[in-house]
Amino acid sequence: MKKILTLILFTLGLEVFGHPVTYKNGFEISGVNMSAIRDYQATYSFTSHLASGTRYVYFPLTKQTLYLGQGSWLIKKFLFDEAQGNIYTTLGGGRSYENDESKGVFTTGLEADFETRRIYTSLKFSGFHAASYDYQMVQGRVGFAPYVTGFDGIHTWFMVQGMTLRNQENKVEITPMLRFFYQNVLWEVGASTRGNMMFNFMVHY
Amino acid sequence: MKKIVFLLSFLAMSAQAEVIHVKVQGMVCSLCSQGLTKKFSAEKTVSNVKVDMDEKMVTITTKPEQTVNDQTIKTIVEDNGVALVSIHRMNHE
Repeated sequence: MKKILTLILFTLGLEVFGHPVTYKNGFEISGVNMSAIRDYQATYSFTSHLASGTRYVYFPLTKQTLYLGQGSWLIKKFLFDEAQGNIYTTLGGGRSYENDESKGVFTTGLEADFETRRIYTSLKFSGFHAASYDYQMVQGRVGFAPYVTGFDGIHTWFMVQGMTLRNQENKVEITPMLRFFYQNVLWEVGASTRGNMMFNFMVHY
Repeated sequence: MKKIVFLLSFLAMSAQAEVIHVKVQGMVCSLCSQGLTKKFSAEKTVSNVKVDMDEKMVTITTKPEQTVNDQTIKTIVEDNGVALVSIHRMNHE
């Protein structure tokens, strides 16, 4: 049973960044630029529990480009006075291109997060599965906000991300970063302990 | 004269807007509150929406002689992934 659970966790994959599902009729554009992966997504939420979208992924190390369609489901939301927690899953498929060859690829995922106005934690498992490769990304984050502000203020977070991309680099990359958001726009900048820069963004409409 | 005063008073009362204080649970970031502002602002009967993240409160001001019913408020709140705690209404000139 333990092996099955471990297998499920490592074969499931998820969005690299941002909540996979937002509010009903919400539209989200997000981008991730890290040394191991570039990941751009456009997602529409049909309800506060269900979303679908398109996704472009590029792995610089192996020079593979993925074009995906995917659906995400909010499995469970935990609401508290000063906090919320979420568990999401994602399933999608598309084509993978490498050296003028293309093949089918599918992606799966599982993500959990818990946040207050001061503390943020998340854990994500992402998988990209094709006939000739099987990449599994595990990403964990912790962060804190030095101050809280209202809807019209600029929110600032200090965060640390740990990430590994199994069957590619197989190393854990630690990235301290700053997260900012103002109303419907969020952006992150960071540099890993190995000297790799990171820039992420997300916009809600 | 009395009739005119009475009529003016009646018109003034009937032109009152409604201020609705909606207490929610689980609103922890401005991205959460953005959807609430957007959806309540889209209601034809609403003239102003203000979100107070410290108080977890959404304050809706309606247009004169207009209202937003409880079920609509509940639906909008829940569609935005937060929970409705209470609704408190008061008249406002």
